[in-house]
Amino acid sequence: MSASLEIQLIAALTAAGCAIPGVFLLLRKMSMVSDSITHTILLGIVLAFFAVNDLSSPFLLIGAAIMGPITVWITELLSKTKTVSEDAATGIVFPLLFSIAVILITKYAGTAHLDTDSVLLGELAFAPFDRMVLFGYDLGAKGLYISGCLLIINIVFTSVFYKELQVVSFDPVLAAVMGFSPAVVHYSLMTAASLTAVGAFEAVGSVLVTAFMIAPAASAYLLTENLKKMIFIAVGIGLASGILGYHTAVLYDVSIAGCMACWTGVFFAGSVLWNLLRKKKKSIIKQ
Amino acid sequence: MNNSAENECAVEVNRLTVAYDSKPVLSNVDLELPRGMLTAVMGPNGAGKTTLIKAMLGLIPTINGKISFSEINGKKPCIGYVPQSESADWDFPVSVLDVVTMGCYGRLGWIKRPKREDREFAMECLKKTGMEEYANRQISRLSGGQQQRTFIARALAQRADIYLMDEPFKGVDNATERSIIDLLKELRSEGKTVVAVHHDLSTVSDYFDWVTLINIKVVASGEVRNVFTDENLTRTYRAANVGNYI
Repeated sequence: MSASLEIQLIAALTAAGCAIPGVFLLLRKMSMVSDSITHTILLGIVLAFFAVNDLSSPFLLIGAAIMGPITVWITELLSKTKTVSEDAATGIVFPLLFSIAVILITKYAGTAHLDTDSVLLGELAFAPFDRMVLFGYDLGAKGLYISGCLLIINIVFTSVFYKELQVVSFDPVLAAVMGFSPAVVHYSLMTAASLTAVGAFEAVGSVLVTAFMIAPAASAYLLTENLKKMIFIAVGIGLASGILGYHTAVLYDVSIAGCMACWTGVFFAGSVLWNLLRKKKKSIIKQ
Repeated sequence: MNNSAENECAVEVNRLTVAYDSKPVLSNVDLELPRGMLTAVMGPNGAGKTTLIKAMLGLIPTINGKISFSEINGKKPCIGYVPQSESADWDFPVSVLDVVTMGCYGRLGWIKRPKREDREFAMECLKKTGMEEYANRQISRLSGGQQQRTFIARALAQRADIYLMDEPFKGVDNATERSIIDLLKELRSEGKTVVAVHHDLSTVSDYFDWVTLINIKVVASGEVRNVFTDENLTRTYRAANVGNYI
Protein backbone atom coordinates (compact mmCIF):
# COMPACT_ATOMS: atom_id res chain seq x y z
CA MET A 1 0.00 0.00 0.00
CA SER A 2 1.41 3.39 -0.92
CA ALA A 3 2.15 5.94 1.79
CA SER A 4 -0.38 8.41 0.45
CA LEU A 5 -3.15 5.82 0.45
CA GLU A 6 -2.20 4.85 4.00
CA ILE A 7 -2.39 8.44 5.20
CA GLN A 8 -5.76 8.95 3.54
CA LEU A 9 -7.12 5.79 5.09
CA ILE A 10 -5.85 6.70 8.57
CA ALA A 11 -7.31 10.19 8.20
CA ALA A 12 -10.68 8.92 7.02
CA LEU A 13 -10.96 6.15 9.63
CA THR A 14 -9.94 8.52 12.43
CA ALA A 15 -12.44 11.18 11.45
CA ALA A 16 -15.20 8.58 11.04
CA GLY A 17 -14.40 7.03 14.43
CA CYS A 18 -14.55 10.44 16.13
CA ALA A 19 -17.92 11.28 14.56
CA ILE A 20 -19.76 8.43 16.32
CA PRO A 21 -19.23 9.38 19.98
CA GLY A 22 -19.48 12.99 18.78
CA VAL A 23 -23.13 12.49 17.83
CA PHE A 24 -24.04 11.56 21.40
CA LEU A 25 -21.84 14.25 22.96
CA LEU A 26 -23.60 16.83 20.78
CA LEU A 27 -27.08 15.51 21.58
CA ARG A 28 -26.27 15.45 25.29
CA LYS A 29 -25.15 19.09 24.97
CA MET A 30 -21.65 18.11 26.03
CA SER A 31 -19.73 19.16 22.93
CA MET A 32 -17.03 20.94 24.87
CA VAL A 33 -16.42 17.81 26.91
CA SER A 34 -14.64 16.49 23.82
CA ASP A 35 -12.27 19.43 23.99
CA SER A 36 -11.78 18.84 27.68
CA ILE A 37 -10.99 15.13 27.50
CA THR A 38 -8.78 15.39 24.43
CA HIS A 39 -6.52 17.59 26.53
CA THR A 40 -6.59 15.81 29.87
CA ILE A 41 -6.00 12.32 28.45
CA LEU A 42 -2.48 13.60 27.94
CA LEU A 43 -2.08 13.56 31.72
CA GLY A 44 -3.29 9.96 31.70
CA ILE A 45 -0.68 9.08 29.09
CA VAL A 46 2.12 10.87 30.93
CA LEU A 47 1.28 9.27 34.28
CA ALA A 48 1.03 5.83 32.68
CA PHE A 49 4.34 6.48 30.92
CA PHE A 50 6.03 7.25 34.23
CA ALA A 51 4.60 4.05 35.67
CA VAL A 52 5.75 1.71 32.88
CA ASN A 53 8.51 3.78 31.22
CA ASP A 54 7.62 2.47 27.78
CA LEU A 55 6.08 4.62 25.08
CA SER A 56 4.61 1.72 23.15
CA SER A 57 2.95 0.11 26.16
CA PRO A 58 -0.82 -0.41 25.93
CA PHE A 59 -1.01 0.92 29.50
CA LEU A 60 -0.65 4.38 28.01
CA LEU A 61 -3.94 3.86 26.24
CA ILE A 62 -5.55 2.59 29.43
CA GLY A 63 -4.21 5.56 31.41
CA ALA A 64 -5.71 7.88 28.84
CA ALA A 65 -9.03 6.05 28.74
CA ILE A 66 -9.34 6.34 32.52
CA MET A 67 -8.37 10.01 32.63
CA GLY A 68 -11.26 11.06 30.35
CA PRO A 69 -14.07 9.92 32.65
CA ILE A 70 -12.10 11.19 35.67
CA THR A 71 -12.00 14.65 34.08
CA VAL A 72 -15.76 14.58 33.53
CA TRP A 73 -16.29 13.38 37.07
CA ILE A 74 -14.14 16.13 38.63
CA THR A 75 -15.88 18.73 36.46
CA GLU A 76 -19.30 17.48 37.59
CA LEU A 77 -18.18 17.47 41.23
CA LEU A 78 -17.05 21.08 40.92
CA SER A 79 -20.22 22.25 39.21
CA LYS A 80 -22.36 20.41 41.79
CA THR A 81 -20.87 22.56 44.55
CA LYS A 82 -22.68 25.42 42.76
CA THR A 83 -19.66 27.65 43.28
CA VAL A 84 -19.28 27.95 39.50
CA SER A 85 -21.46 27.20 36.49
CA GLU A 86 -20.96 24.04 34.46
CA ASP A 87 -19.08 25.68 31.59
CA ALA A 88 -16.80 27.49 34.02
CA ALA A 89 -16.11 24.19 35.79
CA THR A 90 -15.02 22.72 32.45
CA GLY A 91 -12.86 25.78 31.83
CA ILE A 92 -11.15 25.38 35.17
CA VAL A 93 -10.62 21.63 35.38
CA PHE A 94 -9.24 20.71 31.99
CA PRO A 95 -6.60 23.43 31.58
CA LEU A 96 -5.39 22.59 35.09
CA LEU A 97 -4.98 18.87 34.36
CA PHE A 98 -3.55 19.60 30.91
CA SER A 99 -1.00 22.05 32.25
CA ILE A 100 0.15 19.50 34.82
CA ALA A 101 0.72 17.10 31.94
CA VAL A 102 2.65 19.70 29.94
CA ILE A 103 4.85 20.53 32.94
CA LEU A 104 5.53 16.85 33.60
CA ILE A 105 6.50 16.25 29.98
CA THR A 106 8.87 19.20 29.75
CA LYS A 107 10.42 18.44 33.13
CA TYR A 108 10.85 14.68 33.10
CA ALA A 109 10.15 13.25 29.71
CA GLY A 110 12.25 15.61 27.66
CA THR A 111 14.54 12.86 26.46
CA ALA A 112 11.75 10.46 25.57
CA HIS A 113 9.89 10.80 22.31
CA LEU A 114 6.88 12.41 23.93
CA ASP A 115 7.05 15.97 22.73
CA THR A 116 4.33 18.54 23.08
CA ASP A 117 4.26 19.54 19.41
CA SER A 118 3.33 16.12 18.13
CA VAL A 119 0.74 15.76 20.87
CA LEU A 120 -0.89 19.08 20.07
CA LEU A 121 -0.78 18.91 16.30
CA GLY A 122 -0.34 15.25 15.41
CA GLU A 123 1.99 13.91 12.76
CA LEU A 124 -0.18 12.30 10.15
CA ALA A 125 2.43 12.83 7.44
CA PHE A 126 4.87 10.61 9.36
CA ALA A 127 2.29 7.94 10.16
CA PRO A 128 3.46 5.59 7.35
CA PHE A 129 6.95 5.41 8.92
CA ASP A 130 5.59 3.71 12.02
CA ARG A 131 5.08 0.15 10.81
CA MET A 132 3.19 -2.76 12.27
CA VAL A 133 5.71 -5.58 12.09
CA LEU A 134 4.77 -9.10 13.14
CA PHE A 135 7.26 -12.02 12.85
CA GLY A 136 9.34 -9.95 10.49
CA TYR A 137 6.44 -9.19 8.14
CA ASP A 138 5.43 -5.62 7.43
CA LEU A 139 1.67 -5.47 7.89
CA GLY A 140 1.17 -1.80 7.07
CA ALA A 141 1.21 1.41 9.05
CA LYS A 142 0.45 1.09 12.76
CA GLY A 143 -1.89 4.07 12.54
CA LEU A 144 -4.13 2.09 10.23
CA TYR A 145 -4.65 -0.53 12.89
CA ILE A 146 -5.20 2.01 15.64
CA SER A 147 -7.71 4.07 13.70
CA GLY A 148 -9.43 0.95 12.33
CA CYS A 149 -9.74 -0.56 15.81
CA LEU A 150 -11.18 2.61 17.25
CA LEU A 151 -13.75 2.87 14.47
CA ILE A 152 -14.74 -0.75 15.10
CA ILE A 153 -14.92 -0.20 18.89
CA ASN A 154 -17.19 2.78 18.34
CA ILE A 155 -19.41 0.94 15.86
CA VAL A 156 -19.75 -2.03 18.20
CA PHE A 157 -20.34 0.13 21.27
CA THR A 158 -23.01 2.24 19.56
CA SER A 159 -24.82 -0.65 17.93
CA VAL A 160 -24.88 -2.79 21.09
CA PHE A 161 -25.96 0.05 23.37
CA TYR A 162 -27.91 2.07 20.80
CA LYS A 163 -31.18 1.80 22.69
CA GLU A 164 -29.57 2.74 26.00
CA LEU A 165 -27.64 5.68 24.53
CA GLN A 166 -30.83 6.92 22.87
CA VAL A 167 -33.09 6.75 25.91
CA VAL A 168 -30.51 8.09 28.37
CA SER A 169 -29.74 11.03 26.08
CA PHE A 170 -33.38 11.83 25.35
CA ASP A 171 -34.94 11.32 28.78
CA PRO A 172 -32.55 10.30 31.56
CA VAL A 173 -35.34 10.24 34.13
CA LEU A 174 -37.36 7.66 32.20
CA ALA A 175 -34.16 5.67 31.61
CA ALA A 176 -33.49 5.60 35.36
CA VAL A 177 -37.06 4.51 36.10
CA MET A 178 -36.71 1.66 33.62
CA GLY A 179 -33.47 0.48 35.19
CA PHE A 180 -30.95 1.88 32.71
CA SER A 181 -28.53 3.72 34.96
CA PRO A 182 -27.81 7.06 33.28
CA ALA A 183 -24.48 7.20 35.12
CA VAL A 184 -23.30 3.86 33.71
CA VAL A 185 -24.25 4.85 30.16
CA HIS A 186 -22.79 8.34 30.62
CA TYR A 187 -19.40 7.11 31.83
CA SER A 188 -19.26 4.34 29.22
CA LEU A 189 -19.74 6.99 26.56
CA MET A 190 -17.02 9.13 28.18
CA THR A 191 -14.66 6.13 28.15
CA ALA A 192 -15.40 5.43 24.49
CA ALA A 193 -14.87 9.10 23.65
CA SER A 194 -11.56 9.15 25.58
CA LEU A 195 -10.26 6.02 23.85
CA THR A 196 -11.21 7.51 20.51
CA ALA A 197 -9.50 10.76 21.40
CA VAL A 198 -6.25 8.96 22.28
CA GLY A 199 -6.16 7.17 18.97
CA ALA A 200 -7.19 10.28 17.11
CA PHE A 201 -4.65 12.58 18.61
CA GLU A 202 -1.79 10.35 17.52
CA ALA A 203 -2.97 11.17 14.03
CA VAL A 204 -4.38 14.67 14.16
CA GLY A 205 -3.27 16.08 17.52
CA SER A 206 -5.35 16.91 20.56
CA VAL A 207 -6.33 20.41 19.45
CA LEU A 208 -8.24 19.26 16.40
CA VAL A 209 -9.96 16.16 17.72
CA THR A 210 -12.89 18.31 18.82
CA ALA A 211 -13.44 19.34 15.20
CA PHE A 212 -13.78 15.70 14.17
CA MET A 213 -16.06 14.82 17.04
CA ILE A 214 -18.43 17.76 16.91
CA ALA A 215 -18.52 19.32 13.42
CA PRO A 216 -19.69 16.17 11.55
CA ALA A 217 -22.30 15.49 14.25
CA ALA A 218 -23.51 19.09 14.22
CA SER A 219 -23.79 19.01 10.40
CA ALA A 220 -25.70 15.73 10.45
CA TYR A 221 -28.05 17.15 13.11
CA LEU A 222 -29.06 19.86 10.65
CA LEU A 223 -29.54 17.41 7.77
CA THR A 224 -31.79 14.79 9.33
CA GLU A 225 -34.35 14.24 12.07
CA ASN A 226 -33.53 10.58 12.53
CA LEU A 227 -30.89 9.45 15.00
CA LYS A 228 -29.64 6.47 12.96
CA LYS A 229 -29.35 8.56 9.81
CA MET A 230 -27.61 11.24 11.84
CA ILE A 231 -24.91 8.76 12.88
CA PHE A 232 -24.41 7.53 9.30
CA ILE A 233 -24.26 11.03 7.86
CA ALA A 234 -21.77 12.12 10.54
CA VAL A 235 -19.55 9.13 9.74
CA GLY A 236 -19.83 9.91 6.02
CA ILE A 237 -18.81 13.52 6.59
CA GLY A 238 -15.89 12.28 8.71
CA LEU A 239 -14.68 9.94 5.95
CA ALA A 240 -15.05 12.62 3.27
CA SER A 241 -13.25 15.25 5.37
CA GLY A 242 -10.34 12.86 5.89
CA ILE A 243 -9.85 12.17 2.19
CA LEU A 244 -10.57 15.69 0.94
CA GLY A 245 -8.35 17.10 3.69
CA TYR A 246 -5.43 14.98 2.59
CA HIS A 247 -5.68 16.05 -1.07
CA THR A 248 -6.09 19.71 -0.17
CA ALA A 249 -3.03 19.50 2.07
CA VAL A 250 -0.96 17.87 -0.69
CA LEU A 251 -2.15 20.44 -3.21
CA TYR A 252 -1.12 23.42 -1.09
CA ASP A 253 1.66 21.67 0.87
CA VAL A 254 0.12 22.48 4.29
CA SER A 255 -0.92 20.58 7.44
CA ILE A 256 -3.08 17.53 6.71
CA ALA A 257 -4.90 17.65 10.05
CA GLY A 258 -5.59 21.36 9.57
CA CYS A 259 -7.10 20.78 6.13
CA MET A 260 -9.22 17.90 7.41
CA ALA A 261 -10.61 20.08 10.19
CA CYS A 262 -11.29 22.84 7.65
CA TRP A 263 -13.31 20.42 5.55
CA THR A 264 -15.49 19.50 8.52
CA GLY A 265 -16.13 23.25 8.79
CA VAL A 266 -17.02 23.46 5.10
CA PHE A 267 -19.48 20.58 5.51
CA PHE A 268 -21.01 22.33 8.50
CA ALA A 269 -21.42 25.60 6.59
CA GLY A 270 -23.10 23.66 3.78
CA SER A 271 -25.46 22.00 6.24
CA VAL A 272 -26.45 25.34 7.77
CA LEU A 273 -27.21 26.67 4.30
CA TRP A 274 -29.20 23.59 3.35
CA ASN A 275 -31.14 23.79 6.60
CA LEU A 276 -31.99 27.47 6.07
CA LEU A 277 -33.09 26.88 2.46
CA ARG A 278 -35.28 23.98 3.50
CA LYS A 279 -36.96 26.04 6.21
CA LYS A 280 -37.56 28.86 3.73
CA LYS A 281 -39.04 26.45 1.21
CA LYS A 282 -41.36 25.07 3.87
CA SER A 283 -42.58 28.49 4.95
CA ILE A 284 -43.27 29.38 1.30
CA ILE A 285 -45.33 26.20 0.89
CA LYS A 286 -47.24 27.01 4.08
CA GLN A 287 -48.08 30.48 2.79
CA MET B 1 -66.97 3.23 43.48
CA ASN B 2 -65.69 -0.09 44.80
CA ASN B 3 -64.50 -0.65 48.31
CA SER B 4 -61.18 -2.27 47.60
CA ALA B 5 -59.48 0.75 49.12
CA GLU B 6 -59.79 -0.62 52.60
CA ASN B 7 -57.96 -3.83 51.91
CA GLU B 8 -55.75 -3.12 48.91
CA CYS B 9 -53.04 -0.59 49.04
CA ALA B 10 -50.83 0.01 46.00
CA VAL B 11 -48.11 1.96 47.65
CA GLU B 12 -47.26 2.77 51.22
CA VAL B 13 -45.06 5.68 52.24
CA ASN B 14 -43.70 5.71 55.79
CA ARG B 15 -42.17 8.73 57.49
CA LEU B 16 -40.63 10.00 54.27
CA THR B 17 -38.38 13.04 54.61
CA VAL B 18 -36.59 14.68 51.70
CA ALA B 19 -34.48 17.82 51.77
CA TYR B 20 -32.65 19.89 49.18
CA ASP B 21 -29.65 21.71 50.62
CA SER B 22 -30.84 20.97 54.17
CA LYS B 23 -34.21 22.66 53.50
CA PRO B 24 -37.00 20.12 54.00
CA VAL B 25 -39.19 19.61 50.96
CA LEU B 26 -41.14 16.70 52.40
CA SER B 27 -41.32 16.07 56.10
CA ASN B 28 -42.51 12.86 57.77
CA VAL B 29 -44.89 11.92 55.01
CA ASP B 30 -47.11 8.93 55.79
CA LEU B 31 -49.38 7.78 52.99
CA GLU B 32 -51.28 4.78 51.76
CA LEU B 33 -52.58 5.04 48.25
CA PRO B 34 -55.28 2.62 47.07
CA ARG B 35 -54.90 0.16 44.24
CA GLY B 36 -57.08 0.43 41.16
CA MET B 37 -58.01 4.06 41.72
CA LEU B 38 -57.19 7.48 40.39
CA THR B 39 -55.42 9.54 43.03
CA ALA B 40 -54.73 13.27 42.76
CA VAL B 41 -51.76 14.72 44.58
CA MET B 42 -52.48 18.38 45.25
CA GLY B 43 -50.86 21.27 47.02
CA PRO B 44 -49.45 24.74 46.41
CA ASN B 45 -46.23 25.42 44.50
CA GLY B 46 -43.23 24.15 46.43
CA ALA B 47 -45.38 21.74 48.46
CA GLY B 48 -43.25 18.79 47.35
CA LYS B 49 -45.65 17.13 44.89
CA THR B 50 -43.05 16.40 42.21
CA THR B 51 -40.58 15.45 44.92
CA LEU B 52 -43.05 12.92 46.30
CA ILE B 53 -43.45 11.33 42.86
CA LYS B 54 -39.68 11.28 42.30
CA ALA B 55 -39.04 9.81 45.75
CA MET B 56 -41.58 7.06 45.01
CA LEU B 57 -39.65 6.29 41.84
CA GLY B 58 -36.38 6.18 43.77
CA LEU B 59 -34.95 8.99 41.67
CA ILE B 60 -33.83 11.23 44.52
CA PRO B 61 -32.00 10.55 47.75
CA THR B 62 -34.21 10.55 50.84
CA ILE B 63 -33.11 11.46 54.34
CA ASN B 64 -35.46 9.11 56.02
CA GLY B 65 -38.45 6.92 55.34
CA LYS B 66 -39.59 3.92 53.41
CA ILE B 67 -41.61 3.49 50.25
CA SER B 68 -43.08 0.09 49.54
CA PHE B 69 -45.12 -0.98 46.58
CA SER B 70 -47.43 -3.91 47.23
CA GLU B 71 -46.74 -6.99 45.20
CA ILE B 72 -49.19 -7.93 42.48
CA ASN B 73 -49.66 -11.68 42.04
CA GLY B 74 -46.47 -12.23 43.98
CA LYS B 75 -44.42 -9.97 41.74
CA LYS B 76 -43.03 -6.50 42.11
CA PRO B 77 -45.37 -4.15 40.26
CA CYS B 78 -44.17 -2.46 37.10
CA ILE B 79 -44.17 1.30 37.49
CA GLY B 80 -44.83 3.70 34.64
CA TYR B 81 -43.86 7.33 34.75
CA VAL B 82 -45.10 10.39 32.94
CA PRO B 83 -42.73 13.29 33.66
CA GLN B 84 -43.55 16.92 33.07
CA SER B 85 -43.14 17.30 29.35
CA GLU B 86 -40.43 19.96 29.63
CA SER B 87 -38.10 17.44 31.27
CA ALA B 88 -37.28 15.83 27.91
CA ASP B 89 -35.21 17.22 25.04
CA TRP B 90 -37.85 17.92 22.36
CA ASP B 91 -35.22 18.77 19.74
CA PHE B 92 -33.87 15.23 19.90
CA PRO B 93 -33.80 13.51 16.48
CA VAL B 94 -36.50 10.91 17.11
CA SER B 95 -40.04 10.44 15.84
CA VAL B 96 -43.19 10.20 17.94
CA LEU B 97 -43.26 6.43 17.38
CA ASP B 98 -39.61 6.16 18.51
CA VAL B 99 -40.49 7.90 21.77
CA VAL B 100 -43.48 5.65 22.43
CA THR B 101 -41.40 2.57 21.60
CA MET B 102 -39.03 3.65 24.40
CA GLY B 103 -41.84 2.63 26.75
CA CYS B 104 -41.03 -1.00 25.87
CA TYR B 105 -37.32 -0.66 26.72
CA GLY B 106 -37.78 -1.47 30.41
CA ARG B 107 -39.31 -4.85 29.54
CA LEU B 108 -36.53 -5.58 27.07
CA GLY B 109 -33.71 -4.92 29.52
CA TRP B 110 -30.14 -4.13 28.50
CA ILE B 111 -28.89 -4.66 24.93
CA LYS B 112 -32.01 -6.36 23.45
CA ARG B 113 -33.51 -4.36 20.62
CA PRO B 114 -37.20 -3.55 20.21
CA LYS B 115 -38.81 -5.92 17.71
CA ARG B 116 -41.60 -5.48 15.22
CA GLU B 117 -44.25 -6.42 17.80
CA ASP B 118 -42.90 -3.79 20.20
CA ARG B 119 -43.32 -1.13 17.52
CA GLU B 120 -46.77 -2.44 16.68
CA PHE B 121 -47.73 -2.26 20.33
CA ALA B 122 -46.34 1.28 20.50
CA MET B 123 -48.53 2.12 17.51
CA GLU B 124 -51.59 0.76 19.34
CA CYS B 125 -50.76 2.96 22.32
CA LEU B 126 -50.51 5.93 19.96
CA LYS B 127 -53.94 5.11 18.57
CA LYS B 128 -55.38 5.09 22.08
CA THR B 129 -54.17 8.63 22.61
CA GLY B 130 -55.40 9.71 19.17
CA MET B 131 -51.85 10.39 17.99
CA GLU B 132 -51.43 7.75 15.28
CA GLU B 133 -51.39 10.26 12.42
CA TYR B 134 -48.31 11.88 14.00
CA ALA B 135 -46.38 8.61 14.42
CA ASN B 136 -43.60 9.56 12.00
CA ARG B 137 -43.43 13.22 12.91
CA GLN B 138 -40.27 14.52 14.52
CA ILE B 139 -41.05 15.47 18.10
CA SER B 140 -39.95 19.10 17.85
CA ARG B 141 -42.96 19.73 15.59
CA LEU B 142 -45.56 18.82 18.20
CA SER B 143 -47.79 21.17 20.17
CA GLY B 144 -47.75 21.06 23.97
CA GLY B 145 -50.87 18.87 24.08
CA GLN B 146 -49.44 16.49 21.49
CA GLN B 147 -46.23 16.21 23.51
CA GLN B 148 -48.25 15.32 26.58
CA ARG B 149 -50.26 12.70 24.67
CA THR B 150 -47.01 11.23 23.31
CA PHE B 151 -45.75 10.84 26.87
CA ILE B 152 -49.01 9.23 27.97
CA ALA B 153 -48.82 6.83 25.02
CA ARG B 154 -45.27 6.00 26.09
CA ALA B 155 -46.49 5.28 29.63
CA LEU B 156 -49.17 2.97 28.18
CA ALA B 157 -46.41 1.18 26.26
CA GLN B 158 -44.69 0.52 29.58
CA ARG B 159 -47.67 -1.77 30.45
CA ALA B 160 -47.32 -0.67 34.04
CA ASP B 161 -49.43 -1.64 37.02
CA ILE B 162 -48.97 1.72 38.67
CA TYR B 163 -48.68 5.00 36.79
CA LEU B 164 -47.09 8.01 38.42
CA MET B 165 -47.82 11.19 36.45
CA ASP B 166 -46.47 14.65 37.03
CA GLU B 167 -49.13 17.11 35.90
CA PRO B 168 -50.56 15.18 32.95
CA PHE B 169 -52.98 18.04 32.17
CA LYS B 170 -50.42 20.80 32.11
CA GLY B 171 -50.56 22.95 28.97
CA VAL B 172 -53.23 20.91 27.19
CA ASP B 173 -56.51 22.17 25.72
CA ASN B 174 -59.92 21.05 26.95
CA ALA B 175 -60.43 18.37 24.30
CA THR B 176 -57.04 16.81 25.08
CA GLU B 177 -57.75 16.97 28.79
CA ARG B 178 -61.01 15.07 28.24
CA SER B 179 -59.31 12.40 26.16
CA ILE B 180 -56.54 12.00 28.75
CA ILE B 181 -59.00 11.60 31.61
CA ASP B 182 -60.98 9.05 29.58
CA LEU B 183 -57.76 7.10 29.14
CA LEU B 184 -56.99 7.27 32.86
CA LYS B 185 -60.48 5.98 33.63
CA GLU B 186 -59.94 3.18 31.16
CA LEU B 187 -56.72 2.29 32.98
CA ARG B 188 -58.66 2.24 36.22
CA SER B 189 -61.23 -0.14 34.75
CA GLU B 190 -58.33 -2.45 33.90
CA GLY B 191 -57.38 -2.44 37.58
CA LYS B 192 -54.41 -0.09 37.18
CA THR B 193 -53.45 2.48 39.76
CA VAL B 194 -52.88 6.08 38.71
CA VAL B 195 -51.30 8.73 40.90
CA ALA B 196 -51.21 12.16 39.27
CA VAL B 197 -50.05 15.57 40.38
CA HIS B 198 -53.01 17.84 39.72
CA HIS B 199 -53.65 21.57 39.96
CA ASP B 200 -57.20 22.31 38.94
CA LEU B 201 -59.41 22.33 42.03
CA SER B 202 -62.59 22.48 39.93
CA THR B 203 -62.08 19.13 38.23
CA VAL B 204 -60.90 17.00 41.16
CA SER B 205 -64.30 15.56 42.05
CA ASP B 206 -64.99 14.74 38.39
CA TYR B 207 -61.67 13.11 37.62
CA PHE B 208 -60.36 11.44 40.75
CA ASP B 209 -61.45 8.93 43.40
CA TRP B 210 -58.87 9.74 45.98
CA VAL B 211 -57.00 12.92 46.83
CA THR B 212 -53.85 13.56 48.80
CA LEU B 213 -53.38 17.13 49.96
CA ILE B 214 -49.80 17.94 50.81
CA ASN B 215 -47.83 20.94 51.84
CA ILE B 216 -44.45 19.58 52.92
CA LYS B 217 -46.46 17.46 55.35
CA VAL B 218 -49.55 15.49 54.45
CA VAL B 219 -52.59 17.63 55.27
CA ALA B 220 -55.18 15.01 54.41
CA SER B 221 -55.48 11.92 52.25
CA GLY B 222 -58.55 9.87 51.46
CA GLU B 223 -61.61 9.57 49.27
CA VAL B 224 -62.39 12.80 47.49
CA ARG B 225 -65.85 13.20 49.02
CA ASN B 226 -64.40 12.96 52.55
CA VAL B 227 -61.17 14.84 52.15
CA PHE B 228 -61.83 17.49 49.53
CA THR B 229 -63.41 19.95 51.96
CA ASP B 230 -63.08 23.70 52.32
CA GLU B 231 -61.42 23.26 55.66
CA ASN B 232 -58.72 20.90 54.35
CA LEU B 233 -58.11 23.09 51.30
CA THR B 234 -57.65 26.15 53.47
CA ARG B 235 -55.19 24.27 55.63
CA THR B 236 -53.27 23.10 52.55
CA TYR B 237 -53.05 26.30 50.61
CA ARG B 238 -53.07 28.93 53.33
CA ALA B 239 -49.75 27.85 54.75
CA ALA B 240 -48.06 28.50 51.45
CA ASN B 241 -49.53 31.97 51.18
CA VAL B 242 -50.81 31.31 47.68
CA GLY B 243 -54.08 33.17 47.86
CA ASN B 244 -55.10 32.86 44.23
CA TYR B 245 -55.72 29.14 44.53
CA ILE B 246 -58.94 29.62 46.43
